[in-house]
Amino acid sequence: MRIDIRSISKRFGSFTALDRVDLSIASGELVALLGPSGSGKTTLLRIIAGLEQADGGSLAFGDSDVTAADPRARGVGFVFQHYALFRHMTVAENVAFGLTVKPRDQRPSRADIRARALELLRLVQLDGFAHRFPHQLSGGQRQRVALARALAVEPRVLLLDEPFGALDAKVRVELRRWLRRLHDETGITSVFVTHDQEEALEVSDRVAVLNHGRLEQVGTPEQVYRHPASAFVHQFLGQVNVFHERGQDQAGADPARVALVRPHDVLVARAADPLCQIPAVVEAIAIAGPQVRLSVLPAGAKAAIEAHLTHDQYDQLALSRGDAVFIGYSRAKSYQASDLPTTVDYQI
Amino acid sequence: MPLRVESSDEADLRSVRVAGDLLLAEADELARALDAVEGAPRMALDLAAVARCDGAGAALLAGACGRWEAGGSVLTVMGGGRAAALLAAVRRRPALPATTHGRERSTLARLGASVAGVGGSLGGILADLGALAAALPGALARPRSAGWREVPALVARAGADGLAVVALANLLVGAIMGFQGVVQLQGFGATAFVPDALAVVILREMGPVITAVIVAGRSGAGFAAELGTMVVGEEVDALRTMGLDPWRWLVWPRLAALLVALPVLTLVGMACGLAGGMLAALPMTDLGVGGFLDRLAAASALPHFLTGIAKPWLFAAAIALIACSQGLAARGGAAAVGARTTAAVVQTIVAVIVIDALCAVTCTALGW
Repeated sequence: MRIDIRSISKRFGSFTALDRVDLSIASGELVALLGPSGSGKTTLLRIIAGLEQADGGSLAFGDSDVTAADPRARGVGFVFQHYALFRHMTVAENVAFGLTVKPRDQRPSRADIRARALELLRLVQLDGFAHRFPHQLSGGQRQRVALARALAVEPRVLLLDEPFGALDAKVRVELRRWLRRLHDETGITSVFVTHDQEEALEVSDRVAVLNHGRLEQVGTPEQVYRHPASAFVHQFLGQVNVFHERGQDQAGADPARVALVRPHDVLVARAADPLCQIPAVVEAIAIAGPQVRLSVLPAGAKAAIEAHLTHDQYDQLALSRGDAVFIGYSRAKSYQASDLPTTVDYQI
Repeated sequence: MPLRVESSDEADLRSVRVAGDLLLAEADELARALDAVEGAPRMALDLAAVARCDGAGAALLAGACGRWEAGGSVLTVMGGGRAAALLAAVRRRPALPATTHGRERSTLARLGASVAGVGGSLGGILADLGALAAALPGALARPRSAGWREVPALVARAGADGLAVVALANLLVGAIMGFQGVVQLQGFGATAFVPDALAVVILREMGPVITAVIVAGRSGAGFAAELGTMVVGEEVDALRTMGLDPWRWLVWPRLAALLVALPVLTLVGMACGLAGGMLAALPMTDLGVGGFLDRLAAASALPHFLTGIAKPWLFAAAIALIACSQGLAARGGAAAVGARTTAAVVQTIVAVIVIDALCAVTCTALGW
């Protein structure tokens, strides 16, 4: 089911939650709405579900306009951040609930409903839990029940609001891979909201980055990560170092412009070479799993910058704390300094 | 580093160089220095030599920039760095509207605000009444879309579980009425009329009202807390995405349950009230059980009873409507549920008393 969001706006009092957002989601696509809190991503999801009404703009599922349609007419499955399971019902009753309350002419037989609920519980790997109550399950299990419940009504669109936000890190990583597989099996057009850039990049076909109610960029994970359209996207999708351009490789550098560089694009060398010309001192070294994180303080700078090296590079350089090195960077992107988000990780 | 603000003119460009620390401690000095710089048609603010800058410094810079620009200057900020980033951040923030937060409002202002709010809350009740009425046809036409199956359990919770407290409260109120009746009427030698007085007071007023107030406290609070918790836990949103209207699915079954439970509880309450009155009055008078019951029967108790048993339906509807709409209006977290529950109890009890007063006036006017 194709979703067309056209110029959707929403205000809460004097707060603008969404400002003329346009987004088209292809049938069968898994799209992440990514942004910091207050960026409007959950509001957009709730408008797609019909739980909120937009102040302006239009929304279409396929060829039918659903801007003013009731949630029940839209055929959406919704997974909530805090599961929202019905606490007085068993797991199986929760999953079957959406089917048992359908009008008589659309309702499957009792046996079919039961079979469907059990089948869905198998799909979410919870067969055997049918007669438990929600409070007897772990967070990850509850969220899978919530997903099965959302899928039970055979929705045209699956909407997930920070589905893994309340889970611990390990379960989160497992569940998001599992969600991706599930999406590949079912092929339902899905939209999920997250503030976790790693999650968005790993799971989705396309990422829509929102900030202050505006869409900053829409693209594949590779596009938004490697070719950010704005300083905000660049900064939000991973750590960045800020270099004030000082005519290192281009003549006539503009003092009002800055270059954003990801830590793994920072080059470190023992001796100055054409690429690495900024003298610096190694302040700290941390082995963080597959990479080595260096904190280096360029001469004359007030704050250190972060560089990520592979173990091979690290071994070759044979660095230790206090060593003098030369740094440079590749794949920098330059922006107006005034466009820079207020919080940056490292800057010189 | 000491603070320095220098301005120099070159052709038609006025350059303002700010250097040193722009911190809270230097705010006075910075404000004076910036105030001394006049605006010019073209200006450049050079922050390259700023050593440290905090929010106070950035705010003062932003104020100066705003003043120059308001005077028609075209301004360029140069030098980048943290100062420029902070300045840009401060200037991007829209001006905050003036708030009354933290300022204590006078009693008169609070009174005015609450009076002004009455219209809004009456409008809210009307809107809720409308939503409730709009949900009824669907709930009857498609019984599956309303939670009717919950009704027996709700009746048991509102009715059976509340039976003991309703009985006890009415028994005690009846006893007090009986005792006071005897004490007051003794002076006139009219203790024989105590049963007549009890018939009016218990059957017409006290039985229904005491019972309704207890149910308002128990079930009203229960409904508001239950629905509020469901709203906060997104369960109501989950129902809506599955095509269920909360008014149909949650509110009507609760209203129906109270419509069943409250009249029955009122019957029990009336019986206990009369029994209490009799228990208190008998030892103090020479009526005897038979005489007491005879007087009661002769007191044309039937109209009082019929009026008394008609009111619980009104009370039940008001309690369910107010408590459920308070619960559904909960927004935010657990604190909102608590606040809504308190509001539900207060409003339902007030509603019961107001309805009873209206009924008393109406019945008197109609001669019932």
